[in-house]
Amino acid sequence: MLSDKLNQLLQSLSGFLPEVSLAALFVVLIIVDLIFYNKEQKPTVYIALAGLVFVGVLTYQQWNQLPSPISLFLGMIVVDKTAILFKGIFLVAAVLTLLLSLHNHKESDERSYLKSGEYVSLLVAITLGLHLMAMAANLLMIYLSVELVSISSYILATFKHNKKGSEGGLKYLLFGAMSSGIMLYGMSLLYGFTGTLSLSLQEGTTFITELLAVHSLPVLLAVFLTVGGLLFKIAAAPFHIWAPDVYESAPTPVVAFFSVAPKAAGFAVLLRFLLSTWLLYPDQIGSEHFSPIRAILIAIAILTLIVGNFSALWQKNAKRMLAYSSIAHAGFMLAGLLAVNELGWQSVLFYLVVYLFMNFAAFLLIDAIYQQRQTEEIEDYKGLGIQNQFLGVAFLIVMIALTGLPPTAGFTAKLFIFSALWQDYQSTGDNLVLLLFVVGLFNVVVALFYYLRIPYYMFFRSGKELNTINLGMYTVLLLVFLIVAVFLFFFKADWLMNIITAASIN
Amino acid sequence: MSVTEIIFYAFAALTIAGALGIVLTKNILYAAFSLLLTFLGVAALYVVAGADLLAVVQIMIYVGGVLVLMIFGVMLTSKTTDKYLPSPSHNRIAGALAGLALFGLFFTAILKASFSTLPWITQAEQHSRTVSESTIAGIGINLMTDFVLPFEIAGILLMVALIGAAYIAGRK
Repeated sequence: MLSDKLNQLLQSLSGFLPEVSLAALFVVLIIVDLIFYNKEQKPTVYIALAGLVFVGVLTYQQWNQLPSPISLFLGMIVVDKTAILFKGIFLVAAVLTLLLSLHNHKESDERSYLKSGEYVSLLVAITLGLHLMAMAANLLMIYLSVELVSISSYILATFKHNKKGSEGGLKYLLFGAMSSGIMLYGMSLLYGFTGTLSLSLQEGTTFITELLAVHSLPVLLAVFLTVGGLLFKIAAAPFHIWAPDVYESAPTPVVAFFSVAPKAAGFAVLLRFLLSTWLLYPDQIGSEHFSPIRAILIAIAILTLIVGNFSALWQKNAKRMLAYSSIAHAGFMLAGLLAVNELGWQSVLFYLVVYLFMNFAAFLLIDAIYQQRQTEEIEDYKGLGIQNQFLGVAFLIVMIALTGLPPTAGFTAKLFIFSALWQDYQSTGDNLVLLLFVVGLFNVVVALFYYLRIPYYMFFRSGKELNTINLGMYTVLLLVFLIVAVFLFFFKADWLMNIITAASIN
Repeated sequence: MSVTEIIFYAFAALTIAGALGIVLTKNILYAAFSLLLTFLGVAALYVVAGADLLAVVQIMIYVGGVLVLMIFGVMLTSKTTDKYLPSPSHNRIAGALAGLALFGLFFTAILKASFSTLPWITQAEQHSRTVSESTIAGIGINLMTDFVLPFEIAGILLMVALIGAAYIAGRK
């Protein structure tokens, strides 16, 4: 009995190679940082990049070799193709974050965070946490991985050595600790109702059957408390208050990472937690256990869309504006998740991949201007587009993509979300879904105003004649790569969609 | 009413009294001492529930570690030596209303859940899987088998927290 379990644990390790490598990389980075303690130039960033690429190769192998979902560590985590796709998103985001941190870092002392090895090792730790979030199939594992991500995030948010950085970090910590507490309370209630922490969501497992036996009010309360903690991670309104302050004060590469990767992981867990129940028990959608949860989440998605877009209209700081825009994007993805059909969650995956590239491009542009002008105010962008056409055009393309207009992948992503919602409305006739659909469309129009304000300032307003901006080869190449990706997923959307469909088969 | 029930209600009252003390006092040091009552009361409730290891851990970590650290923190950071550290309360009425409403909601929900009739709990009682001896051996084996992954991840989590604390405290 016991030896069986130990054997299973040992066998689990082979399916857990990417994560074991990440943990090893974390330790290696700490040791390397200690060895090069007093040196100006540290190899930590390059070791981390090489390590992350290696983990990427392992993850790719895992994708190829996976016949069907496997459950590891006695049901603690489940590896399926969806989880592996999410892991790919996290790895690309982490690599891009390091590349963003590297650009121009020698010329400016603002970038002192790269000199501290903690920055890189914490980034690896957070990636490990995200990987676990994508695979977790147990409430305890979900909680621990969320905490690993959160605690690393609190520290990374304070890496700018000033008062604002500390303030943003502290706010993040206080809100985050509170939401973790709430989530833990919800989970403990769920354990009390079912007697199991295991979420392995196949039909007829104890978790769901026991849950359905309990009165709906307590179940609703417990599920809502649990989901609340995850909604905090994806910065959905009204759990979004921390986002603008953190985004404004944290180092830009970290912000770009925060706006994509933990959000994607939050959706991965939500996907497991909510959608599997809905897909496995379609007859339960209208029941008193599940329909109020869905109604509440639709209301939250509507609120998130409205709060994100309308607050962004009034922002003067470009990073703060992108913070609100990322809240609005979370609203769109939540909407896709709530369209209870295959296309719905496939469109969420598509949206996440596209969002990864366009958001990193946007933050890279803001950072490049900041490097040379020391400003993130939209006012100060006047005339920049005339001075440096490449910069202006790049900004225009990225902003069009974020709005969701053709010929960029931002359009394709929004199109999928809206078709999924429409499909759901056709099959259920639920007026709430129709409302969500209409609010979403309306918000695309609102988004047009604040996104296109930046290119408008850059091209049609003349600014002070200051030193011209030189982007440098490295930045230009990185930008071209990101923008090509944004176009590629528009013209060859079926490539990405085929991968996502392959991920959804098992 | 059996003896166990009397003990349970006595310690529950102690826990709630401590919690009320934290909310109502304006002196932050008194609040810390009230927290001591709550922690001890919760530890006692664990003993009544048969969770012996949890009770010991509660006393060692919360009473012995967290609380002592907190009291030291209060003592070291208070610059006013002759006056107590005030922690004023705001929005009392709205806060009390929100608290009572939440209490009402949770109270109804937990009553509605009627834990004693839940299938898994009645099954456990039938199979007499309720605790009759020390739980430490079982918890130890489970930590190294079923829960070995969370155990290891908790190690990484603590490492991250340690690095972060050292980084934030040590920067110039």
